[in-house]
Amino acid sequence: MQNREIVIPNKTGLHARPASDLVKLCKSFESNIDITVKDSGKKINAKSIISVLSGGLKQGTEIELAVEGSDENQAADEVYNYISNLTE
Amino acid sequence: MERKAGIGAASGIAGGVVRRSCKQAIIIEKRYTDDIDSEITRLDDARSDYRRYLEELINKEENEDGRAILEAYREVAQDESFFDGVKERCRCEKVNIEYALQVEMESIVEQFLVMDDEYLSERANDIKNICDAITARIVGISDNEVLAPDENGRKLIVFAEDLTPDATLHMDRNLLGGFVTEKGGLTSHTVILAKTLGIPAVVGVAGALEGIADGQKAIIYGDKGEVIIEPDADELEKFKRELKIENKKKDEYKKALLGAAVTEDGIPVEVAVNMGDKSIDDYDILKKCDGIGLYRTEFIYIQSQDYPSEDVQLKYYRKVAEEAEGRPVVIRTLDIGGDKQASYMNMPKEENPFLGYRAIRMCLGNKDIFLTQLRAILQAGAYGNVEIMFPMISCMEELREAKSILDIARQQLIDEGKKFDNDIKVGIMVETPAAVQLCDLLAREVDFFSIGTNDLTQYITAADRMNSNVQYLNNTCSIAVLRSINHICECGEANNIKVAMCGEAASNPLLIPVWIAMGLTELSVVPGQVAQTKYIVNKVNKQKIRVQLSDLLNMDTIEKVNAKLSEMQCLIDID
Repeated sequence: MQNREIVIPNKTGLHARPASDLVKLCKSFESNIDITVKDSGKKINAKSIISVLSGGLKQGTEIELAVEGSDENQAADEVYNYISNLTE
Repeated sequence: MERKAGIGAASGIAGGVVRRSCKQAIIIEKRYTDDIDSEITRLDDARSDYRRYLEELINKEENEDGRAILEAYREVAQDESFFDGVKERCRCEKVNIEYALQVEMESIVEQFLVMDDEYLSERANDIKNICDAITARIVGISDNEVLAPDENGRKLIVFAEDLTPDATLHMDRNLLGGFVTEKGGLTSHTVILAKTLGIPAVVGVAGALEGIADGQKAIIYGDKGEVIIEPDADELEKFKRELKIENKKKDEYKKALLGAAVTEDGIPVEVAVNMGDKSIDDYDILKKCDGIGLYRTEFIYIQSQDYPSEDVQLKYYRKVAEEAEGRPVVIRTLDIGGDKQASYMNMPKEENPFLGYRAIRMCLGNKDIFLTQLRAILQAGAYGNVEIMFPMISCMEELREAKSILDIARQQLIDEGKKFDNDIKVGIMVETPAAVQLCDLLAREVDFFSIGTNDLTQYITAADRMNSNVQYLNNTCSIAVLRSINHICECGEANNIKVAMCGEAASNPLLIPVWIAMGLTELSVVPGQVAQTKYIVNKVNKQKIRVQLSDLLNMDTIEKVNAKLSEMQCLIDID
């Protein structure tokens, strides 16, 4: 299992295109990818667009990424990079 | 004659005949069943049918935003985790599938609504639209309305309680004059669509469907949010006048886009574009403007697994240099670090990333990486009119050191016998308060300044642009920011170097006259703003605005600045 901590950096948050691109990216991996919102403890399935949107992940939200599966190293790195470089 | 008022959602005006669009209401009853498998099949069949319908629309749709919205709908329709929940409920409670779907949908929608965010409320609406469309298919009701043309060939003004984006895209655009809906907010997908398709729309009209009938004459004003049914002669006259003005404005934007931007009193202003947000840019706009005022290079580093090689970088820089066909392309060296980095960079997390180890600071600390980029940019200069720009400069030492590394790159390329532009222009971003204070000195050693208003505003006002509690301070119209920009322009003029601007403020209609009066000679804006920026430049009289400048720079509150800006706007002849 791979864990990463991230603070949502972009203005839009994980809404709209950033959310849908995240789901697309996560679906390309075999691993299970879960996001936990640090404040509320809410769990989000990163492969479900509805789940990601319902997470209310706004700019500044602190989250923890938990990735488990055969490609967990690569998945954790790429998802981490994707979220931390959001600018929109 | 009757007037209805709502929110102006998509601009433009239109006249035509009323067409009511009424959805058949679906009543869902709870039923118990033991045949769970066939319930699940009904759901899966309905979902496939809806997906096929969306895919057909996606394939036909030429508008990019329209396609993106349809794709988002398809994605929700394919959200296995959500529909697994629906199936689970069906199985556990032994209920009919449309009931299970309804309950799951309501629970999600509720979660969205409690977040009290306009954007998420609209997404809740999207999810509801999608579930409704699937439900209609489960119970065997067709919900794809086909718009029949008016017998006299007049445009149709569609009145509806609400319109889903797929229903909107399903309508024949040649027949469509405008939309009036009872529901809907400004961030709804239907409104976004109406805007990009250029269809006037008024939303949030209470009683939109009351007391109207198909075939009545209707006029809508998309800016004011006004709808008029069966207009009288005066209203019709007014409509014709306004329509003429609107068509003229559209023509003028188009004309402005094709011509050069020159103020009313004959001062040319270059209007350039910002590019480099992604690997594929739209080069068409490049041929209709004065080059690239800011080419960002971060994407090349971020999409890569390791530091990109000279060859990889050269390929990108050469491509834009060639596409620009001789127009200047200002390439900004790597502006990364602090809050923004690629995983392979392995840089420590910082407490204060915006005041930390980023941009030129990081490049000067990693000379190999910097040298590789400079070599690539210099060589791209052999294929077009390339200029180089250093970000975040805050002292003379940084500028001189960056230039000395550029000299090393030059010498290496000479020694290796490689083609490059030896006379490349070198400029800096002025975006730190330190650079503002030093700009009389910095101006002696560079070919141009480019003002990055986003960072400059954040540093001058000491207010994080991402922190909503201090947004009232982070304002480019802040007098402290306006005075800084004026000072930069004065230093540029005194040293006879070009001063450009490449932040969001460069395309702000209220501020464009101010920038011109201050002496900025280049505005670099996002591609979508080129036409409007040129149009406004053409209308500005520099001398007329310039005499107002000292008044403006002596306003002591933001409120007075705004009032003065509006007053100055009246000096410009914009319809």
